[in-house]
Amino acid sequence: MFKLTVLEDILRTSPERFSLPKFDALSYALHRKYSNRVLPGVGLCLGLWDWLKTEEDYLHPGDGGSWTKVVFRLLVFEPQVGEIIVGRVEHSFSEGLFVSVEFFNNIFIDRLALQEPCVFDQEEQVWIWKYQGHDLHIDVGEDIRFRVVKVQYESSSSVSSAAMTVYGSIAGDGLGLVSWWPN
Amino acid sequence: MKVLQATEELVTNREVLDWLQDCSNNEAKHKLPNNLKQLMTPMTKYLQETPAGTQSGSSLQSLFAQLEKFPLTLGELQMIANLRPNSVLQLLCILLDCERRFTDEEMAELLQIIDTTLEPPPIKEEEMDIQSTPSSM
Repeated sequence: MFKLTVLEDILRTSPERFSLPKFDALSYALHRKYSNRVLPGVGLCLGLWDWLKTEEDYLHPGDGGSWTKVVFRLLVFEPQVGEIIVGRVEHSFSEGLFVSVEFFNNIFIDRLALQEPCVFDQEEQVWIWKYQGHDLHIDVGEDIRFRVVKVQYESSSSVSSAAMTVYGSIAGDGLGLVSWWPN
Repeated sequence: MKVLQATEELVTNREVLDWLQDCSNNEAKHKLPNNLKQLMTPMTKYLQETPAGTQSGSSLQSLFAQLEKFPLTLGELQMIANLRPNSVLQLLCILLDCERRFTDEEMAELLQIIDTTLEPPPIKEEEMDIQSTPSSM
């Protein structure tokens, strides 16, 4: 789920925040740049964990801002392959399921990664696991436990529009709707 | 921007909840940018419904100390803290090759430690009406 990543960057403090204490201003600049953005190969950036190093501020001719080279640890959301996560079924269609964890919803479970045998009910738009003659519906809104099988980044030329897709699987004992497996 | 180290260490859901709490405490002082604020509400909501919602930092520390004797990876320890497994089935899910690595007694001991050390998870209202399930059939 969550991990720390060490990054080095040069942050710009804009003049309207010169009145703040230095680290408050830097922290604002950092969050504005990173929070809720996907860095390819790193994950969904959340925010500052701690500062490791900062250098002296300097100016660029013709720019009112102040620039600071910093090294810091960033709190990042990136599911690890093999990890088990509980999410909620968001959308169900003939190719599989989309699952969300509230703050991130690009989690896809392919139809081939569902419990066997599973059929899609076109009328109700719902996947049904045929378990020993019983129909177990995977309804939208239910809690679902899945295993992460792949994390993929689609990076276009600009960093800010990169996207992370998490691929999951519910094929296996204990996986699937949380309500299927009581203690 | 340069990535110096992609994975420095893993952070449990409880620690992230504390981090979110710190963020909102500092909100008045710092004035947080909108992109961070948009993230904080859904993250807090999600994490509060996971076992982390009732956990305390000290019970996690005690858990990790007691689990030291088991050969578990950092990722597995993180999952145990986040998911709080309470059945052999869930343990088999979380731990790769569990049946070969641990005997039945060790798994029972593991579950016993988790159950006695960590607080019970938050209760969800909908879970009251449990529908037909594979294990009850």
